[in-house]
Amino acid sequence: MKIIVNLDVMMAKRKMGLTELSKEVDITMANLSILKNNKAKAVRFSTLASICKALNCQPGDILEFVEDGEDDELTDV
Amino acid sequence: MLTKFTKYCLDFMFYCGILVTATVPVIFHFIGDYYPNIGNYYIPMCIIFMICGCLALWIIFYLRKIFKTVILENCFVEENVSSLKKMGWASFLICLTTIVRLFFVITPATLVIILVFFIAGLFSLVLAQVFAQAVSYKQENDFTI
Repeated sequence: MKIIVNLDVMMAKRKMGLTELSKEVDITMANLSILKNNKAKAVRFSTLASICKALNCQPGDILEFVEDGEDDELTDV
Repeated sequence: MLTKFTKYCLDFMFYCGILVTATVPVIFHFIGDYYPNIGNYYIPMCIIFMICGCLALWIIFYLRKIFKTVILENCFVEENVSSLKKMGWASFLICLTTIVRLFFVITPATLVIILVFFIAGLFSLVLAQVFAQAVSYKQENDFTI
């Protein structure tokens, strides 16, 4: 089971690029990329709050809980 | 200041160590007249001391390698864990080699060297485990956004 970060989905909805979001939340592009590609091991609340403010969304819009096997089904499709 | 001093000490020890280890047979040839223990068992003592010298150089080599990562401000890496383990095993090997020396001559200094290098080996292995934990924490921290 894991938490999926749907940052790219929300960024597409708000029509915001990685560079612009990086400047808005004051996080490096490298770190945002780590977050976007689900390689992050943890996210600080302050970071999450900054991202939600920049994208005008709720944490639940960006974070999704996935059980084991569900993600594999999605990739099979 | 301390960093430079440590670096110079390590470099000095390393290069002098190479010189001394390579010239052990020559040195022992001359001091054998003053130290009967070395004079009477010239070849075994040369072999034992050269082996110990090489192992000590191996320790200093890895110590210099670790110190380079300290200077680069990135010392909590897997390579340093491996280096510390190798240093530990080298210390134990020096200890074993010095035990062989006991078969030729028993002196208090020899016993002290055995004990010191055994403790040094243990210290190095414990430090390797500490570094392994530190590497794990650093990786966790690096991936915390």
